[in-house]
Amino acid sequence: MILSIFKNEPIKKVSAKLLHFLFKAEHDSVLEHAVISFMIRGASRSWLAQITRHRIASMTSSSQHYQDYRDYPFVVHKSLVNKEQVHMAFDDSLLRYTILIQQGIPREEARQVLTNAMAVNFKWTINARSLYNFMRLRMCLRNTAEIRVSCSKIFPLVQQWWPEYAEILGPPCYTNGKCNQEFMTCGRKYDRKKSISG
Amino acid sequence: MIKMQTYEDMLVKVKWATPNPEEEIREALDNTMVDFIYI
Repeated sequence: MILSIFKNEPIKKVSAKLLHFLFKAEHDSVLEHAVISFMIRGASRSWLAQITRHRIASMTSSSQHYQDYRDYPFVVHKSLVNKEQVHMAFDDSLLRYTILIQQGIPREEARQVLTNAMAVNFKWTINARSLYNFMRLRMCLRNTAEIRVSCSKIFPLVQQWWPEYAEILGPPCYTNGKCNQEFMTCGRKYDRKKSISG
Repeated sequence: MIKMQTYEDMLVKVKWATPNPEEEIREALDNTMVDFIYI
């Protein structure tokens, strides 16, 4: 049994109801004391641009300055994997990158010919207050398929870590029963059981 | 030869997490908030 540090009483359970109240009443700063750290492999550079907009987190990503990017895969939606035009674009990009490197152009300059689809490895440490905000925005059905896929992979891990907290994660249409996007609403409702990338 | 993968191939693992998040939140609440917050 865990005891409260000053009162010498057992720690009471933090229910999903309490967590929901803390966020709704904006007493959510206490959530910053709980932190989770992820290692993510095989997301794209365009995903990197999205996730780094969530600035209340610590991040370290693959370096196109110090790493040879010929070893990295291209990351695309499953509908593009067999598209000839996509293969041609990636082939061309990687060929030109390789030629520039062979000509002695530094990696940090040669990288400019690479595409947004290039993979990135990413270490991400985020507190529960900021993660709540991230999941609220990025689980939304209006968001990109890739970041929603990453949410679908993050969610079960958070559930294992702290089930009551995971219960309150989701876009406004799921947690509040109402979309807050007004004229931009997609008109659908988020369903945890459905496929993410479509 | 290019290597390709889909979004679903992304790997996500937890490296570390606060071992008892409830304890951290309760400790913060206990010492800063009033009792009505015990819901």
